[in-house]
Amino acid sequence: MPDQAQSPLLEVRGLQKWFPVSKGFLQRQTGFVKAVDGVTIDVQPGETLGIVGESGSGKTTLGRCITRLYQPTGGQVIMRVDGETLDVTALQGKELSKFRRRAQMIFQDPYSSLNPRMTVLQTVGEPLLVNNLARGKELEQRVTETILQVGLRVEHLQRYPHSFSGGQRQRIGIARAIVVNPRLVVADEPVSALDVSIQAQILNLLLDLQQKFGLTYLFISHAMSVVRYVSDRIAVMYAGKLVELGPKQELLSHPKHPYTEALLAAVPKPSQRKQGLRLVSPGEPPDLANLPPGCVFETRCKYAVEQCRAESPALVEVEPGSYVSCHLAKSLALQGI
Amino acid sequence: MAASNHYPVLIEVQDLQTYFFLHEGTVRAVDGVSFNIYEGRSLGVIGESGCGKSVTAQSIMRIVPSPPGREVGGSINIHLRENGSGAEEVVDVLKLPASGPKIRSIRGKYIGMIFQEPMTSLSPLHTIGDQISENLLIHDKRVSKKEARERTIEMLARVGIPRPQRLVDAYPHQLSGGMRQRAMIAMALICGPRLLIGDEPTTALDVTIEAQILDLIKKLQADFGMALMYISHDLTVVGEMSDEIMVMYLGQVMEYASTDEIFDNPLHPYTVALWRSIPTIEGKLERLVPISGSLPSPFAVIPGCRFFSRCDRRKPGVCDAAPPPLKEVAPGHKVRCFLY
Repeated sequence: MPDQAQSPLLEVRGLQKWFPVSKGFLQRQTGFVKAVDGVTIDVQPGETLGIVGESGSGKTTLGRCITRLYQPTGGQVIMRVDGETLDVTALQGKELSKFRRRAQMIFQDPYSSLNPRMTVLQTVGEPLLVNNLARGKELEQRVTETILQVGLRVEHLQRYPHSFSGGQRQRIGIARAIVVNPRLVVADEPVSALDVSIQAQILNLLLDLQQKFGLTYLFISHAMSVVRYVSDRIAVMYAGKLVELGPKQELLSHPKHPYTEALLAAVPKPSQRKQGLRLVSPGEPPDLANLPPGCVFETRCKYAVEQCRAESPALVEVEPGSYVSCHLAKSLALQGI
Repeated sequence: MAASNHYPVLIEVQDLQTYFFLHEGTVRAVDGVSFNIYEGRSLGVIGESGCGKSVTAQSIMRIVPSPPGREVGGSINIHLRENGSGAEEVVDVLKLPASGPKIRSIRGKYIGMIFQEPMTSLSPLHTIGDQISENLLIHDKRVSKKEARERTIEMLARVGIPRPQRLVDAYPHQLSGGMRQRAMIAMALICGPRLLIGDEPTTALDVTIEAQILDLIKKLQADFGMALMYISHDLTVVGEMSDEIMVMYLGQVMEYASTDEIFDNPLHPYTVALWRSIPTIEGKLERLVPISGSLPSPFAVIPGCRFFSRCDRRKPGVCDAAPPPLKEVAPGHKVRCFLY
């Protein structure tokens, strides 16, 4: 567990990403899809912060705003690295490319995230080349070291993506991310597209690399079991909002947000396989272009009261390190695992 | 709980071989698979991509894309029983022409199937109501259009579609993923089939929606008294849905046993390795033990055990010399491994 007292590597303050929606022949802008709407979160150096949520919860958009693949609509991202304080949301030009060396991404689909016309050497070497970090013999040397670290072999250097299996392709994607010695790696569903027997290889590789290089991970996934395996802390997102954040074990055994409880109840558990129906939470997530005025989970929440329909709850620290945005957080006793 | 073989048999699959003949070579997608499906019972099929679990289901339905695929051997006997009359007809679907009238009278009527992606089985050009009632009109000439529509609305309500009177006229794109999956279930069940095949029907869905659909399938299975063949790569999901589980690897059945046995007493090294390699939501957090290596090429012809290259208990000279048979090692528990 990383030391909470040290200053965070990353401070995310009220981050927003709204995508405009247009309609009709004239493509008039009619509103916004609020993919991420006011997310505040700290990431400690060396930790793995797991971000769980269902599709449309904004977890991927959050990751992409933090790595500046998207320009956020509002809010701030501060990164403290090597004695510098970077205002990530305002970076431009040279400063932005310098930042990209420090924050890298691993993508879900190992098939579409690699250029089929580039060899492993070219793919993994490209970040070094574009950042002017190495060239020629030195570049080859660094790429070779890196691919050995991720469990590939020297003879793979000249091969193209099509000759690799899904698991090996994901290793190439990981090598490409770590070759520039980043501090932060945002891994967006890195094992979801892989076969069951391959997932553990990649998860263990990520854990080993973290140990070896002191990496900080933002690990985005829809699978609670995977997030449980890799994370120190877990953040739960729903409809663009951060609804709960806490230390892993605390969040799993004592969830404080009704959505977290519903999510945990929905996951099939080997020990409960003989209990008939599960009484899962009904309904579906709200339309992000037309959110309810109050709490975003209110339409599906079995505990909702009048206040939940009227006011959007703020994220508050209910116990040291445990944050939740729910009007009833203090009065509910929710069931965990 | 009584074992499934005390129930009347609905489908007997014997030594099924379904191959794909491609330019690069022959893929033995299903290679000697035998199992039974019993009336009212649930069979779970687990395995990774390329293990043949979907092709097995497609062979039962005779919807293997052909060419390049073809059922080259074996038999699939379906016991067709008319409700109430006790009359029974046994048909080997592999002997039927794949688009002839007989198999079409079985597909959709006796066997319903739901897929991972509802958009592959729903037409974007027709309302869901028309698509569901079409199934009814084709299989039962006595049903009038008006009656078909009424029964469709009733079925939409049973699968949990809100305001079915209105949504019967909706197009698939107007529904959410979960609602489309419900519409597809309604389409599969409208004729009251004896068997529902689900091929990863919840894989593309979100966790809370997946839980809703799993509960719905379980409830409908009980209401209709039909058998279920549930295919998934997710062991925990299959565990919830099945009485018996069949574990497949590279076109063969590696292990077959009751769900309790597969969970509490797995025997095949592949099943054991799968359990050690998947993260779960409960229990002690230990480092996962990955299965080493990766799947062999689908074109590879493997003389011995197909799991040999990745097995941590392999015996060279034995396991790679000849293929192990699927052996019943305890009542109802079959394993394809020389260790037993």
